[in-house]
Amino acid sequence: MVQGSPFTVQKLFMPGTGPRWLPYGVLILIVAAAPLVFSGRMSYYLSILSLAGIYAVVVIGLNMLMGYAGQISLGHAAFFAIGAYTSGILSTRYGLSPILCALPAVAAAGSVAVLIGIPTLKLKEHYLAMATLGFGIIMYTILRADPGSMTGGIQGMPNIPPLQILGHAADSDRAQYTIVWSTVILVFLFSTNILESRFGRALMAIHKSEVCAAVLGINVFGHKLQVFVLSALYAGFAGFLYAHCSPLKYLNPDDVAHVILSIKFVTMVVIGGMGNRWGALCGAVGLTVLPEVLRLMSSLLHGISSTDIEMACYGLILIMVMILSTRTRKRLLPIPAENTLTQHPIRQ
Amino acid sequence: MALLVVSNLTKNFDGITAVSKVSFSVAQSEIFAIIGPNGAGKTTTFNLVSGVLAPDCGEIFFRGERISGLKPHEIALRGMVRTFQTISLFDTMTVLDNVKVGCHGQARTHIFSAAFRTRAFFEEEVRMTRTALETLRLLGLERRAHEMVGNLPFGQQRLVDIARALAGEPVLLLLDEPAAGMNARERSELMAIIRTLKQRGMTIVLIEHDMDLIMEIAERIIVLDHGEKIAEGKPEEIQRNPDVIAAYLGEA
Ligand SMILES: Nc1ncnc2c1ncn2[C@@H]1O[C@H](COP(=O)(O)OP(=O)(O)O)[C@@H](O)[C@H]1O
Ligand SMILES: [Mg+2]
Repeated sequence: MVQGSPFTVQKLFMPGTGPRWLPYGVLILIVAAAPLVFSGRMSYYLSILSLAGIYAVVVIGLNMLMGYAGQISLGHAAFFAIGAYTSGILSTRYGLSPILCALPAVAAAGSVAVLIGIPTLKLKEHYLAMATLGFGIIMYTILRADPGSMTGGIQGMPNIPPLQILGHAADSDRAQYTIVWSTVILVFLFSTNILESRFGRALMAIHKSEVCAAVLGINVFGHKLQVFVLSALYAGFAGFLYAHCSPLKYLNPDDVAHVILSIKFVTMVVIGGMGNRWGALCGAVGLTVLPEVLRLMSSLLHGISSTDIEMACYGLILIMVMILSTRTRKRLLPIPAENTLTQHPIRQ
Repeated sequence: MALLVVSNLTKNFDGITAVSKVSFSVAQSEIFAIIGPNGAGKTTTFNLVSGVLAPDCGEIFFRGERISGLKPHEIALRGMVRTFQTISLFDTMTVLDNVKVGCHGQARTHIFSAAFRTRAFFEEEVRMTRTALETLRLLGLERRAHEMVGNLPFGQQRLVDIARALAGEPVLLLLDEPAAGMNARERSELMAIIRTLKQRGMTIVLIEHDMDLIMEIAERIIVLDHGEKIAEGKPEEIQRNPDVIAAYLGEA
């Protein structure tokens, strides 16, 4: 029996039938409610949530690469930085309208990913980790050294124009929050659609056994490259958002290209339970909010720097996740693994 | 013209010769068996034919085309699919999803159709689901389609493994010890399935340890020992062959 297979508008973004739209409804409600809670003097917190949303875009993409296809990248901050700096340079030095910078930012990150991916994706596990780590460090060094006097080096790149929407500059915390989180929801649904298809199943097959996937007719290298580039496109897009949709209006290699940021992204994927899309979203928000919580508490800590504690927290979280996942194979967050469910248009 | 022609196939693993100058050919719709003691080089032969390993020497032709040197997925897309001696199912997926992975090669739509949920995407997803369910029905497994594959008993997992390979609609199916770990009833079911597949025009090459099963079902057999082909013929010829008897006695 074929059930509701014809194309409908509702299915454009809603892959699930039955009660599976519920989590999306809850997500949209929370996203819509936040500006009401954090209004007036509290609107500073919206800018932190915007940053969380920007990181979430990276993490959603990285989760496809790590959680689904089982390939690790310790260099994703580099793609984030490529997106951010491409957009920053085009809008400040060449006067391009910020909204038009999105495409070149994403394209630049994607092209570099193709060049990096072709040699490195032939490598296995920790070699791939080392290669992507090396790439991240090279990118960071280039941005600091600023060979063509384009990036501003360690001084950074100030005065990046905000997005213009319908003639209005999206300058307030609230406007930026709205833009970022609308995009996050779209990106999230998009990714769900991409993963709940033969592409997602092929990635999971590659994760389990490359040889087995290959003899079933799956082009293993081709799929690895596709998902690597896709995740870099996400990171590049997030970089574009960071350049024009955060209150700083300022880019600096330490903020967007540092190895610590790459490791932060990986931690966000891991804490959410690899291959869990909702977990990835929660991981991104949780770990972005964490330093703010620590900063609020720093008056209680008498002299210990909150960034030191932040780093210690990451270490602790990673160790906990590793222990929990090897001992009990349970996820840290009690969210069901979603990669086991793909849609079947035919029901018996 | 034979469907599969293997000539002079040789593979060395640092020092030992796993497969040595093996030649054979398989005709369309034939049930062809490769037997031999443990370590004779049967699995290695499969690895070479399916492109998982590159041969040191020798050539392989499939449907008249030289396939030695092609990647495993390229060979699979030309209509040759294999199973492994140890079951390698995707244990984070349901039975149906496992079999749908096998349909991958038949599908044509890309990421963008999936992202935008186009009509073509839905049509193809329906087609894949239907193929997968039909394949499961053929193997008597359609009632377990929505279960996690790890919850099935061992014998049925073997059948899911075969179903996944069949979902790619291969011309030639290579089965590496498909009856290993099956009970008597499951074995007879497996034989019935193999016969059905042959009737539908499929060609099957199988490696098997169970002599009764082989003698009953195979039309032609080659025997490998220490990487070399020591005999070839019909089941009754193989049973009488003194070299074969010696090789198997040597193992026992
Ligand atoms: N990947 C490998 N590396 C090294 N030696 C191998 C490898 N695969 C198989 N061999 C060796 O090749 C010989 C043949 O193995 P195999 O083809 O698995 O035998 P069979 O399937 O007939 O039992 C054995 O001696 C085995 O140890
Ligand atoms: Mg074997």
